[in-house]
Amino acid sequence: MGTSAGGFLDGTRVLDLSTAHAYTAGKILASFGADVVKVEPPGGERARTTPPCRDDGDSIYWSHHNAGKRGITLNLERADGAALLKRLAAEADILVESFTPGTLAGLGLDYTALAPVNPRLVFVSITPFGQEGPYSRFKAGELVISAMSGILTLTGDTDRAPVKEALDAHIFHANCAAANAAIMAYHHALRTGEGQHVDVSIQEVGASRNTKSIIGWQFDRRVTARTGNRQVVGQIFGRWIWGLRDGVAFFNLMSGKVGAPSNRALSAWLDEAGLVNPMQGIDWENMSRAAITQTQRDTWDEAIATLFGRYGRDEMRAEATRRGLNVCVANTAAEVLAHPQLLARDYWQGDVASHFVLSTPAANKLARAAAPRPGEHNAEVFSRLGISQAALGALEAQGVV
Amino acid sequence: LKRKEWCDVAKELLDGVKILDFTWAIAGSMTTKQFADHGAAVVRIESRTRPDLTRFERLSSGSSENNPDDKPWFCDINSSKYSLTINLKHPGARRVIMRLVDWCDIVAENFTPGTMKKLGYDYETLKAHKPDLIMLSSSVFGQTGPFAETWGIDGTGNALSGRLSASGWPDRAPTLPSASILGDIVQPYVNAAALTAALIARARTGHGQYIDSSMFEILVQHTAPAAIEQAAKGADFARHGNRVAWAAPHGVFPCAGDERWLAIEVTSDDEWRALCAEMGRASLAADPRFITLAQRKANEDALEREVAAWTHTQDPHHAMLKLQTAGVAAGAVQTAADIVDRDPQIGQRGALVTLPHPPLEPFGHQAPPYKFSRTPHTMRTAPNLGEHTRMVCREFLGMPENEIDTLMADGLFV
Repeated sequence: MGTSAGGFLDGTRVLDLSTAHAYTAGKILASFGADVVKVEPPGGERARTTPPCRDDGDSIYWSHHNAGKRGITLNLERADGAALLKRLAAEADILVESFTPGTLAGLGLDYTALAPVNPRLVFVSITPFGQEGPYSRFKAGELVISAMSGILTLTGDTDRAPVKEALDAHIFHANCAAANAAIMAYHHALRTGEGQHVDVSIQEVGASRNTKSIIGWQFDRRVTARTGNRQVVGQIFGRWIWGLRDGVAFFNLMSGKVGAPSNRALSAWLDEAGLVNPMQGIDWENMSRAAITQTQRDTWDEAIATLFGRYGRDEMRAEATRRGLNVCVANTAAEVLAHPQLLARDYWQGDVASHFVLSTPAANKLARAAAPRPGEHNAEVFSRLGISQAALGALEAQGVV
Repeated sequence: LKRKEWCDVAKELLDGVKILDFTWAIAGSMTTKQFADHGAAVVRIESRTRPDLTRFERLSSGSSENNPDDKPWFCDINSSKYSLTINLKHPGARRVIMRLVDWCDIVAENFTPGTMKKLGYDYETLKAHKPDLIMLSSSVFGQTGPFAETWGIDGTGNALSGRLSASGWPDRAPTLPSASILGDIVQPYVNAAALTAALIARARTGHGQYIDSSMFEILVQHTAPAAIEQAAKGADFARHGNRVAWAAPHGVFPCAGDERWLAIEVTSDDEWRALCAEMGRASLAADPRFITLAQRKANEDALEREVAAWTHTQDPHHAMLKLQTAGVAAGAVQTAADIVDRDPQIGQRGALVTLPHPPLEPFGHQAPPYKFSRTPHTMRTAPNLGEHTRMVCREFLGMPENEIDTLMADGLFV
């Protein structure tokens, strides 16, 4: 293992008991150089078949988000399995888990049980609603969590039900937050010798994106709604998703000095195209998009939509660059994988995204791009506990590992 | 550990950590908030001529057009920090900034790449002055590569990564939440994780670090499996509405009342039978169109109509409790009003911390969304523009009052 330059967390031991809500936290820690050992039930966890899958049935999702980890199998529901986990936890710096609250307590493996074994241990729980409280044992995947966080109500067209944003955004987001919380607590544990329990609620992480609508309610008793391809700024709706001849682009009309160069370029382009230009003669340096009228904004949006709709994706990319206009064309799936920016930054190891940040002198790329096969590292991990090959064979035969 | 001062008793999580914060706009503010709310000293470098975006965007009543100190969004994402105003173009600025560099552990910035170099505060320059400095540059594309200097914001990251194309209904154009960003709020957690990890690495090795964070790269960590799947088929990102392959019903259903909705996820046949029982439709469980997941997926339109026929008479929170009690994943589609005034879970976690911030009425500021059992966060009111200039010079830099007075009179601290 190990890249030549090493990572921030070289030498850090992470025990990763994650289920589907918590894969990415461990991947981030692994990308920072930690030795992350994923613990699965004998035979591997069921989520190994989570879609999307390759033709051979292997989950792209599972292998991408568990890349860089080592893997062992252990039956935590058996007393001898739980005892082995305790021995591993005694040597770990960070433990990540995402079971329904109470599950690990039932197995004698919750924070209260492990802290006496290892007072330095940072024990991180990632669950839909957190460890305590009336909703803490609710079942929830991405859709239900996004309903409860206040994000779902903001998403979609007004003539249909609210619609989920792409993939499992809340779960991904909460894992990034959890990785940060884990490292901050580990930093504290290194200084003081004291570990602690870190309790991450995916709902609360989602709600932390909801700042603007929470402010709108607190100050003005205003409920922010979903508005299709528009965003809400104060009380004004402004379009930010635009149709192109063969695709979609993002352009967000910004206020004041930040938006002025782009807004001026846009106005000039409308003139050049011979289109009606309601953006003429505006003092862009002092324009506040929250302070204009809805009618004014609508006329701008209509003119911009007409202009953008004339262009194809590549034409728009070229025009935006030439004119200094902050339009970003949505990449296709193939364009993401072959994006020159990602290639130039050596982002991919095979088809695994290998870093979360670039850094120097630490490299902070995954030491191995592969995700572990079930129990792939049983021998090397358990031998560290002094368990012989023969003893391991016996444990396997008994269904413990 | 090489650094002795680390081992002093730390009451708060990040006691003693010091950050010189050049960040502006949302992603930068959220990065350093994670430190400030946990006891680190974070000094924002601001100026009246280059104010933070969120000091001026007027999103609610109580905020004026021109007062930089009355914007709740700014307050929310800059809690617990200090503000020092300085004219970076003033000839006296460099001496003060370099003293702050000496003082701090971490320098953070999220300007368009190249800006810090123009200001003379790029990593190479600062590192020559302070070899073990940890510095973060956070941007949409990253500091290197052909697109490094391309301007971008949160939505740029959405468009680049496929997140925009994959959000919404299959038969309609893509959509995004109307008032909730993602890249600008995800990237800060990764940034803060990297910075804290770099502090750990510095304690171990004595070396500083330069961290180059790209929102594009962080978001593709999320979208890569979908990109790989779709590209292999020669297809673009797909939108699936609220449906997924592994569960049905899996959707958002209308409830009694205006714009009230309930999200339901049924991931097994047992849960389907439980849902039928709760709906008072036991016979539906035996309907041959819906017995197995494959059958429910094949007849999903009809399935969703049956569920909607029940939900449209229900209160969403009441139905949620009823279904959760029966072991079915369900959640009311909550508005900000529900989150602030009603949700007992969010309430019990203390997700909003009420702080005074005159001239605004006291309001609930968002707490860091994770709880530390031993070292809870301690949040303080966000700084007014330049509020701590004198305090920072005196307490953190040890400047005598008369020197501060002279520099003030000279127009440095504006």
